[in-house]
This record gives sequence, C-alpha cells and structure tokens, in this order.
Amino acid sequence: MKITFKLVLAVVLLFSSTSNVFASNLWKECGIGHWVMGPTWHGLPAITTNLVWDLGTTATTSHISTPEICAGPFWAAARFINNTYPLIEEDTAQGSGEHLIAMLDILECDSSAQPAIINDIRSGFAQSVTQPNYLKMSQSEKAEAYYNMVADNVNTKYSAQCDAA
Amino acid sequence: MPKYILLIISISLSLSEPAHSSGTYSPNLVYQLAMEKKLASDDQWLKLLHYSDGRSVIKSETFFLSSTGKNDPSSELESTIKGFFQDNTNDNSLHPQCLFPARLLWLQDKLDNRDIFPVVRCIKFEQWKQENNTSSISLVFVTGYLGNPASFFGHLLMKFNSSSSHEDPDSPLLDSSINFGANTGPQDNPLKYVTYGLFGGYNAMMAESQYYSHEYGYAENEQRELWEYKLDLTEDEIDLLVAHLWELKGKKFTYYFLNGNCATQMAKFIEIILNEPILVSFQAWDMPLDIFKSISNIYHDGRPLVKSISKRESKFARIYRKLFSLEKNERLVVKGIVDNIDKLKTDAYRHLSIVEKARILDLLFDYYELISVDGSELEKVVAKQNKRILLLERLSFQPIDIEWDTVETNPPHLAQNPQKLGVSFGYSTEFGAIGTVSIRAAYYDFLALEAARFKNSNATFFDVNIRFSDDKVWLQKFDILNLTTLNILQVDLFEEKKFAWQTRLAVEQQDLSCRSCEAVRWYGGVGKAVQFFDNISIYAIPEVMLDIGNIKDSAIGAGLGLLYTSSENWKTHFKVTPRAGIDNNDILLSWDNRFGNEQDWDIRLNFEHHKASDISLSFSRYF
Repeated sequence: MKITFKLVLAVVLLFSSTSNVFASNLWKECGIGHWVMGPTWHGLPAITTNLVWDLGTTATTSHISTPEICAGPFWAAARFINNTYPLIEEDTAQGSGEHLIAMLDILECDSSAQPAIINDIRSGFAQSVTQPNYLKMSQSEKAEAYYNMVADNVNTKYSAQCDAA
Repeated sequence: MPKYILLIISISLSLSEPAHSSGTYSPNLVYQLAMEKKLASDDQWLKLLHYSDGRSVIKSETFFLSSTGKNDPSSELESTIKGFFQDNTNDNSLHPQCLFPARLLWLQDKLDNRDIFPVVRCIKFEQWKQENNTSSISLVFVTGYLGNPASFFGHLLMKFNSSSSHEDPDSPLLDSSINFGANTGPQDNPLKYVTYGLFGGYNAMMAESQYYSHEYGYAENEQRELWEYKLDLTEDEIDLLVAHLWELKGKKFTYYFLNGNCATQMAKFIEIILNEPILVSFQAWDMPLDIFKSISNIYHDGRPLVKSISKRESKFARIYRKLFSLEKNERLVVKGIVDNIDKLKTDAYRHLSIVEKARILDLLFDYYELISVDGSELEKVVAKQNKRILLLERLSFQPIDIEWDTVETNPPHLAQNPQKLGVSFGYSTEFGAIGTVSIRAAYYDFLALEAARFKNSNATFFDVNIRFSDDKVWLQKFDILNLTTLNILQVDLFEEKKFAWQTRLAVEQQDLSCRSCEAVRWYGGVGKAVQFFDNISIYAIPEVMLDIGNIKDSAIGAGLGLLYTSSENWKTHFKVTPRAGIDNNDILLSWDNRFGNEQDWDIRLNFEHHKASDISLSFSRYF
C-alpha cells in the first residue's frame, strides 16, 4: 500500500519540529516498542489464531500520547522496521530483499535512487553491528537505532529522492 | 515540494464545496422509485445489511440509520435514501453518504442514475481509498496450526491489493489485509476462551492492517503457509467491496467459532457481488478450507472466479528449500558452520565464490533466526552471536541477487475434502462377514492426500464407525477427536528435538472380539519420529490409555508405526501397539492402505487385530 499522508503531513511539518520523526519521539510517543505479536495463552509463546485480536491497534492505541506524530510515512516506516526487524537486518546485510525495498517504498524513495540509499544504509548498519553492545540490545532498541540511521539518510542526503522527507 | 505550497493545497482541498442539489429528485420520489423496483427485498441489499434469518448479524447500532433497521430492510432503505439528501456541512464525515458509500454506489447502480443523489464530498473516505488504491482483492488461506486448537482448521484473511508505481509489484507486504477475529481479552483463561468462542461470548470485527504483520506472524513465527487466491472481479465490484469495507470499520459482530467465524464472514463479504453462495448450508460449521474449495469451482460472469494462486512459504519451508537448492559442497560448508562458527575461516568457505558465499549466508540467516525464536535459552544466545558474525561477514562484500530453486506444492483446494461417508465389507474372525458405515465430520487422516497441511499428521473429529453383521448393528467406534503429529523436521541442520505427540478421545468397543462392551477412553502420548528418503516415516509414541468408565481397564503401551508413500495412488500405514494393563496385556495391529488420488473418493484396504482380526475393503466419498 502506498502510504500518502500529504495533507496531514503538510500541516504537521509546518507546525512541529522535524525531530519528531526521530526514534526517540516515535517509539516513546506512539508505543511502537510495545507492539506485541499477539496474546499469550498461559505463558505459551505468542500465537495467532482465528479467534484473536486486532493486530497492533490495541497495543499502540493504549500507548499513544501525542497522536499527531503517530501518522505519516516516518511513523509507518518505524513501525515496519520494529515489527519485521530480523528480516530487515538480513535484507540489509544482503543488500536486497523484499522487506528492505518495502521500507524504502514506505519512505517513497525513487526506485532509481534505491541502490545508492541501500549502500549508505549498509554502511551505517555495519557500524551499528560492529558495536560490542549490539548483542545486548533488544530487538526494539536495534530497530530504533536502525530507524534513526535510515531517517537521517533520507532526511539529509536523499531528501530529493524520497518524497517522505 | 516547499512546505508552504503543501499547506495551501491542503487548506484549499479541505474547504467543503457547496452541496449540489439533485434538481428533480426528492427523498420521497427516490424512495418511491426504489420500492417500485422492490429494492428493499433485493438480495444484494440484504447482503449489504448482513441479514440472516430476517435480521442483521451486525450488533453495532451505528450501522443502521433507522431505529428498526436491524430487522426491517425496508425502513433501513427509506432512512438511507432520506439520509443521502441531508445537507452538506464543513465536516461530512458523519454524513450518511460518507458513512455508507457502498449503499450509495448500489442505489445509483440499481436506480440507473449516478446523479440521483446530491453530491457530497467525503474527504476521509476518499483519502482512505486513495491510500489503499485497491486494484484487486484476494482471499488468503493460512494453513493450520497444531499448537492451538482454535487454529487446527487454518485461518482466512482478505487482502486488498494495491497498484502503485513505487511498489515492488511482486511484493504484497504493504497491501491492506483484513482479519476477522474475536476481541478476546489478553488474560482470558482457556475455559473462558473455549466457552465464549463456542457460544458467542466474544464480539468480533473486521480489522485492517498491512499484510506484512500477518506474513511475519504466521509465516515467520508460526511456520504456517499463506496461500493467496486472487479473485477476478470488475472495477465496479472492487469499488463496491472497498466501499463496503469502509462501512464495516469498527462494526461489531458476535463471534461463533463454528458458524460465525472468519470463513463465515469473509464468504458473506465476497458473496455481495456473487450470484451464488460460497458456503454450503447443510453443515453446521464453516471452515476456511471450504471457502477455497468452493471459490476454485465458481464461475463469475463466465470466467473462473479465481484468477491466480500464489504461496508464501513459512520460514522453515524456506530453509528446507534453500538447503536442498545448494550444491553438495555448499551444503557441507553450511553444516560445518552450524557445527562450529569458526568454520567460516576455513578454506572450504573462503575459496567459495561470492555468489556461493551469499547463498550460504542467506540460508544461515534464516536458520539462526529460527533458532532465536524456537531454541532453548542457551541456543538463542549462541544463535544471536553467530548471526552477528554472519551479518558482518555478509556486509563485507557487495550486494548480489541470488536465485533459488522453487518448489511446487499443492494448494489447499486440492486437499482431500474434509467430511467423509464410507462403506466397507469384510470378514471378522469373531463375527464372520461384516460391514461398516463410516461417517466423519472433519478433517484429514494420515492417509489423506497431502496439500497445504502439516505432513505426517492426523486430525479427525467426530469420526464414527457403525458396524453390522448378521442382524446386529453396533457402534464400533466414535472418535470425538483424534490428533497425531509426527513433527518431523526433515532438515538435518536442526537437532531432532521436536516430539511426536498424540491425543484421542473416543467411545469404542474394548476390542474386536465384542460388540456390546463400549468404553469411553482417552489416549495420550509423546514420542519421536524420523523420516527416510522423503517418503518413509517411522515413529514410536509411548502412550497412556485411560478407561474413563473403568479405571482398572486402563493401560500403558507404545505405538510403533511406519508410514510409506509409494506414489500419489498408494499410501500405507502400519502400526503395532503392545499394551500392558492391570488385568491383561495384549498387542494391537493395524495396517491401512489408501488407493487413488482423488479429492472426493478413495478405496482403502484395512487389516486390524485386537483379540480378534478384521479385514475389510472400503469405498469412501469425501465432501
């Protein structure tokens, strides 16, 4: 789904700080880190069944405190990264893959620019993985760090190629 | 684009346009036209209102514009038409045309006049429609999950596929998906979960999310396959269904596990644009598989309703496929690295080409990610450490496109049909000539054709054998449920730590030598299974047999079995179970053979021994 929130984003960008698109705000304000895979049933790992829940909205709704920033392509990308991080991690290492491309599509990056963007993301990701504390980070923390690196690239070097910027 | 220009555009677009009078039409006139065409009793109108047995199944009062709309389609039609003539306001989000755009489209079509109602600008609906940009609709079958009884029969999603120039046309990840599920509480205990689910204690609704969340949950975490059946619908039909989905947002249904579930409601949703029902009415329950079997046979406007079928495999299936796509030397390197991550530094790996390295690492990423989810605590720690090492290795060389072999498997609609009616004739050493009538409500046994389900498993419910001989008729067995899964991983990278397990609750004759010695029994067991040559499975499942009516007749035993698939046309299951009880010991033998590869019938030859011996030849139809 091509996510175009131009009308809302127009007002949001004019009246709010661009730092709102960074992880510290999105994870904290939009409850992204609280997304759960599904219910647990007597301590069993999270399972999805056809008796069960409305994916994600219950968890995120209960943790929203600043609804205006919890919309738009950056929010959607943050959620996507957080919720599929292991696959984003693998695709980034490989330099290609469905989830990596989908992330760039959410950020509305031109397909012609994607190889260069991926290259820079790979460099940033390599620095992150090299850090000794990478193993100790939770999935949500890794996703936050990854998102910050991607958002920085999109907002600075590739703002002309990515409509979300 | 400069921000101030965006703001100007946003402000100008948000200004409401003045209401457009429809000129010669008034609410009463339009209602009169509708009544002349008998639209209040039109089948499609009743479907849009979700009527069943004279009333709507939707609980939310906000779905109805008339106070009696829940059970009076005529009054609902009248209120809808009158509501569509309400004045525009600055915020039309609560205008009936904006709340019920499908009804608007439907009335315009039935009255053959697009200008019959005043024009109302529905900004939120238009934005939502534009964001989804639906070009086609798919139904998605999620294969069953033996870890939760509510998921034995699989699940069903709808997918509203987007067309976008930005998007990878082959990837459905960002498509909109619709899930129908009960609003259970996160702390509900199993008793409440089951009772409420069966008897309507839960509300349910259509919930929209992006497809990647389902793909990740089902395929990556629960190792289930997702089969997508894309429907061949016209643009008008898609518009109507998209508009109706908008009408259903946030609307509550009552959830019934048997006949008010995802299969029920998704079928009713698609039936809005069909002239025939998808689900048959003679059975008391609705199963996802039934939908896919049905739609695969439906012709709509002279064309098959199903345009294409595609599969999204589970992570485990992906590992299996990649492993067996590798060359022998690559596979040896993979196994070496799994045994010892330091093998990454050996010549065996170093001397591989970049492509070979990329393939190996690609497979190992999936492998270690699966261990991170499924392994023991220690295994998870090691898996994360090893995955980091592999990530750094992969990041050290450039991106490469990798090709993998594909594996074709049968889609779910080709599975053997779930209900069974069979008759057999044979001979008993105790009773002489015997006949048996078999009736089964669901689902599949070890010998059934394998398609879109767990391999080497058995899941049957309400399975009855009524036997007759001379002039006597008796209940031979009634399996309330009989579940077995061998849990064979088939990928030698993984240690065989999964257990085979079984559970069975039955009313049955104590053995084959009597016909008036019914017992209620529960069986349970945990064991191990292995596979050879892709088509031979061997298992050993120690079991407990609890005779609920007479504990003294309980026993312990060990089921030792062999499953062999010779071809599509012959599969065999041999099982011997030595058993020891308080008062007696015995040995049970069974040997079942299935011949034929049709979904709707088969022939079986069966031999059994338990204090007496039976042999029989059966013919069964599956529905």
